[in-house]
Amino acid sequence: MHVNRLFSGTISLHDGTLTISGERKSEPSNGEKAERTERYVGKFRRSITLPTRVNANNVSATYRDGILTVTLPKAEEAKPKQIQVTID
Amino acid sequence: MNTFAHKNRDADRAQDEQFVAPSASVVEAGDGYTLEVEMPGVNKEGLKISIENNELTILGHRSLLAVKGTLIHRESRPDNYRRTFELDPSIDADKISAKIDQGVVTLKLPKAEHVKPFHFSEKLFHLANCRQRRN
Repeated sequence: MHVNRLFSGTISLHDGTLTISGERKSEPSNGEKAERTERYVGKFRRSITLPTRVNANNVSATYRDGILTVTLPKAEEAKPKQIQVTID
Repeated sequence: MNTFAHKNRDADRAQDEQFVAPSASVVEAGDGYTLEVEMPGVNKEGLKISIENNELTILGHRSLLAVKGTLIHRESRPDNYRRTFELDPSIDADKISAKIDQGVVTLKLPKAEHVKPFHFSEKLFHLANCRQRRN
């Protein structure tokens, strides 16, 4: 996800849905005349339903070069496990 | 299928690198312009800015991290960024400066000294110029 500077944001996890939201404010203009702008200014929001259950206590996030990376480890019960078969 | 034609197409694709045009905004103040270009995934090492014949080209190489695991979904194109801007001739190319922060490149493009706005009447200035040209 690309999230740039001058923003305030929240990352929240609820019921298996990850939500990233925030707002990018425009630069304060001191009598400047804007020629042209393509960059989005305003509120943003994105929700992602996670395919498996995650361990909410171990969620981490980094923000580098304008890219937000959220790491969500799978919950123990969601990890694939080998099941031993005993033959009587 | 004609395998010879297929091979040629791959070679062409390797030579013509695909680029994505980054979003930009331009703000004018009295003494120059501020150009902001959004290039998420680009840092100082991947940024290249060049000027030729009044054209400013910004190139951004993304530092892509190798995907650990299975890629389930991707929306962002992994292509690098490139955009060319035609500069107003009033800009002093020697005084252009740039900085990059969280993927956003900010360029200051100052106008040359002699084109900065004058404080006396514009009409008077224009008339004075016309008279000089006729001589």
